[in-house]
Amino acid sequence: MTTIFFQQILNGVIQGCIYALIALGLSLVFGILEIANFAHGEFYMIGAFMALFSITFLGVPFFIAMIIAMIGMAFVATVIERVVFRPIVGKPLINSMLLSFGLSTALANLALYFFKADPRKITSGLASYRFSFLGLYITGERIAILVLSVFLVLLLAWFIQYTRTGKAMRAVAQDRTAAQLAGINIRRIYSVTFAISGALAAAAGTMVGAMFFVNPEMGFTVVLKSFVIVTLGGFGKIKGVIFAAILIGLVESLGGGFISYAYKDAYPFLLLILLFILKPEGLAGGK
Amino acid sequence: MFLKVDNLTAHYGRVKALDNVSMEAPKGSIVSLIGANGAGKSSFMMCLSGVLRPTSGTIEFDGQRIESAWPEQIVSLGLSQCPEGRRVWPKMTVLENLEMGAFSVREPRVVGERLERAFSLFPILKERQWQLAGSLSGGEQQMLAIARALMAGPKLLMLDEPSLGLAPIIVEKVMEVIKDIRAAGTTVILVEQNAFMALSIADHAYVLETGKVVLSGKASELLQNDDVRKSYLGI
Ligand SMILES: Nc1ncnc2c1ncn2[C@@H]1O[C@H](COP(=O)(O)OP(=O)(O)O)[C@@H](O)[C@H]1O
Ligand SMILES: [Mg+2]
Repeated sequence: MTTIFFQQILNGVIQGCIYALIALGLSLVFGILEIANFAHGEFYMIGAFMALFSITFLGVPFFIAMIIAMIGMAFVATVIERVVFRPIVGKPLINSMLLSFGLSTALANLALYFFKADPRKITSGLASYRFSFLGLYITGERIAILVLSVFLVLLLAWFIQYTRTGKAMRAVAQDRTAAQLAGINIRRIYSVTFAISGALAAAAGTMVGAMFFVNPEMGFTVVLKSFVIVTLGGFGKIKGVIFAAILIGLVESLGGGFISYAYKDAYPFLLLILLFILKPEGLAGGK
Repeated sequence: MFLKVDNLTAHYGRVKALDNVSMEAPKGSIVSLIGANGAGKSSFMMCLSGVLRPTSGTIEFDGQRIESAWPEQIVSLGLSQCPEGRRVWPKMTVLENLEMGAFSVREPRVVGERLERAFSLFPILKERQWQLAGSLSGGEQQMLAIARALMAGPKLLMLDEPSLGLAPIIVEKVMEVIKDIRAAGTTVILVEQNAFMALSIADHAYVLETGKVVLSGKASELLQNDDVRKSYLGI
């Protein structure tokens, strides 16, 4: 019983780190462009396919495939920002909600048409290494995923806190006009923000594609869960979002393990509803 | 002419904020813009900074046409603005605010020199450099906003109501700093609520009413003008 418990905790933390990668990108885009991007799940899906095809057709190893997917998706996300979202920056939120919802449906259907619905798996070549400690089992693949996702989250936090571009991103998020008056090219900041959000989503898609499956509809529930995470963690708060992501990962994993696996996807939303009732000011408190 | 604005017109949607505004600023001068709330003073500055696109008219700055330039290009050319309401980034430190003010500057040596200058102009900012800008008092935030605008190394600095909401002693300090900035060779455009102060410190002045220039001339002469005294000086 306790072994299962700790096993589920471990799985939940891994899942939570992956959610953090996805939700942080969504949160950055929301904070900096003031856009709600419902097509973010499709960035994750397309990224996963990029990695899958890199392995299948180019025969590259898992890590290289992930890097190819991140670069490829950064590029695609930048183009999408420029063509689809740039014209509606500064308009009320409903514009981006409708537009991105349409984009999400279009991208998912295009993927369905070209890639077909059958679920495929990304082979990392690390799943066969099994380690056990204190009665817990973990595969080499999961260790790699845990390390990689934690590394990417820390890299992002460092980038935003200490680099010139990262500081400019924070400046744009806090006051766009003041940023322009300081000589910050906000169009470049928008591009960089989408590139980062696309790259992180692609990394997450690759990881999930290795642990579970890749299919054209994989982005749908993920984007909704990510919005739950961003709402719980506080919009634009990096630490809050990471914390909320791990919490959601744990809730799903423990709920799935101890209550019923069938409702796994429902737990995050139940938690959100519960929180709205019990603590309307959000996890991170007011402000 | 260092700055020459011709027939500038600007709209917010269908609302006209500026109506054929023309003005000039010679190099090294202080030019004041006065006018009631909603007259279009801030909109005028936002047009010059490239944040608000004019509907028509031209802006020539230091020999270059800038009415359709991007805001960051205008900053690089040497035109900076310290906006109304300070608008410092509240969740960034004082030091980060200043660093970002020099975003257009590529050489770290130059950024370092300007930082030294900002700290000598406003020693309190040096003391508080690790504090979040949002935790500063109103007066300190105003100093930070001016210092941030100076970090870009402007040839022309626009200040939008820098004394708004400040204690008289801080206002004194701000006015001293504006004189110092001009003495160092920077041209200044000053928008002030306090028309008396704006006119005392300026060489030339323009009076705006509902987006139009209704009066302009030497500041010393406007101080004596009956309409100005009645409408803006309350005399
Ligand atoms: N962001 C905005 N959107 C719509 N109208 C605006 C905006 N900013 C200013 N205005 C309008 O433009 C006119 C000029 O305003 P402003 O330039 O702020 O004047 P001032 O700085 O002289 O007080 C006013 O009628 C004001 O209501
Ligand atoms: Mg104003």
